[in-house]
Amino acid sequence: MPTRRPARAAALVAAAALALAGCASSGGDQDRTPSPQTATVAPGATSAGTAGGSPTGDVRTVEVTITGQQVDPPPAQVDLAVGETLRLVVTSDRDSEVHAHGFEVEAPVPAGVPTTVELTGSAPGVYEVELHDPDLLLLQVAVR
Amino acid sequence: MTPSAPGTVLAHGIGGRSDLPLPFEYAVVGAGLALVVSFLALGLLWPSPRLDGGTAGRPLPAPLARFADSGVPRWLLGGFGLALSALTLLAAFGGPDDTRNALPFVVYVLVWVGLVPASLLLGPSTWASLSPWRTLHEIACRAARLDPTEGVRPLPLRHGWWPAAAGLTAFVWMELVAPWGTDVAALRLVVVAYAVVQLLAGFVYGSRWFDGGDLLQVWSHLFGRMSPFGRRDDGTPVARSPLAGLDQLRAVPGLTATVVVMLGSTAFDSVREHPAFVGWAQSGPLPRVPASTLAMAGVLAVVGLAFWAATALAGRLGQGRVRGVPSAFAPSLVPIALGYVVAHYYSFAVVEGQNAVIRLSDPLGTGGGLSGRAADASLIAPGTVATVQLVAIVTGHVLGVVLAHDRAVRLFPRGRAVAGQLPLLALMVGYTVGGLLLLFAS
Repeated sequence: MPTRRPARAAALVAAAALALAGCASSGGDQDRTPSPQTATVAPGATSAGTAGGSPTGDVRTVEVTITGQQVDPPPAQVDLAVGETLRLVVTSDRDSEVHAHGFEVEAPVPAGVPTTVELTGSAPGVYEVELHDPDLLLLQVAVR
Repeated sequence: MTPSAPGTVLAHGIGGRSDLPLPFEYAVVGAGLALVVSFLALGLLWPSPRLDGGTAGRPLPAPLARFADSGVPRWLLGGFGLALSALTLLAAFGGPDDTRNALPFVVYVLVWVGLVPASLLLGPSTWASLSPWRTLHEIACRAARLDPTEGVRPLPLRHGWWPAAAGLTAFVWMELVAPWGTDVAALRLVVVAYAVVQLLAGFVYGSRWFDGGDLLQVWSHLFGRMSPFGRRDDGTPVARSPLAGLDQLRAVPGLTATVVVMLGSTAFDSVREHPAFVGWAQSGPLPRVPASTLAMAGVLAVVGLAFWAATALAGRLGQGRVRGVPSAFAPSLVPIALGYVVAHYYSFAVVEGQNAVIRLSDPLGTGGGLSGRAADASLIAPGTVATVQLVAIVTGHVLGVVLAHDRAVRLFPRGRAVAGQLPLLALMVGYTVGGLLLLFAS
């Protein structure tokens, strides 16, 4: 049984790496804004969730792109320690809104503008981060 | 920013929080215990039947027995049910049309989930006493000097619990699949329509209708059978073991379907929270509602077919025929379903139960009462939740195995009882390990 935990952690790390790699590689597709680093400080990013966000490099970033009903990368569970911050960059092909349950974060997502929200884990549990209009689950955040 | 439409915030169920996955060690320990207990039961438990639910238990002391027989508990609970209904209707029709409204919290938390601990404490007729429609029906009949048990038509007995099994399926579909499941306007309509249908059916068929026709009654009744309080077949109020009450349960048409829906719907609730499932449902080839409906039907079918196959095989091995065997073993699934329900709803009940009370204290949303208070989360620390889940699942499994064993040695001739039990044990281990896996994976 002790072998399973590292395996799971490894899978998550791999998933996160893939997600980042996917974003980085598809940067050449022309349908995205430059690089994740630039995107996080996009002006469209101002929202309740970003206030006081630290620009240091130890904040993990997850990028999610919505095209029609497709969420890329598909919804998965992302681990977050209590006190740790996850930077989520959402790019949607139409005007919508991102809502992170349990973090009390709600922010408008204008079409085509990468929007950043920062989620800081406090109470342990699994919380859904979703898009409204269209209603789509983006990811689940498992605060441990 | 455009405010999200009322209801969408609640679209994934009340609250938007779920439990952390069960730690892998817990899942392994639970599965191991389930296996070991099952084989120990086979080898060590009594060789001839011990349970006799109809006469088991210790009669309550005279003052308590008089109280139980006096009608006071029935009318206390009935009055409480009517008062809660009035408050809920006030909130439903006069309260804010958003997440501050108490109605969804009353339906899914206080009534649906709350009935489980209430029935475990108070016994099989908990909802029969609390039910506002049953109480109104009885008051109306008494006022007109009619016998509440008499309707204008005889109750078709062959229907048994089938209406409740269908109602249960519809309810869990509304809770887990319908996009409007927590929408105040829709729920208001459903609650009023359900009350009207129940009242009408009560007047047509008499009060016995509710026993198999009200989904909340069978839900409460089955869990209430595991209460320390119950009545013998002759009506004597007794304190008894959780298994005695289940053993007393008569096979009625629809019992097996009801138990399968109880078990399967809770399993589906775990499935539908898994991100991979949500991804498929929201972005797959089918629109979300048909996709989720199909998935729910699929989970119910798997649970039901597994049950049917295992009990059919048990009947064949144990006594050479299948008839009557599935319904004879259906009660032994109730403790397993209870384990699932506790594991699945414990933290939800603790947190959202408080939120329900907070909302009911301010039914009109005027900012009075307890509104503005946050639910206390000290009882849902991850370690506590995982322990509760493990203990609930394993305890349910043990009780289910013991009950199935007693049934097997009663039904099957001695030489074949062990062989007859093997498929049942495999089934129960499958359900339990499946339940643990679902808790581990989501």
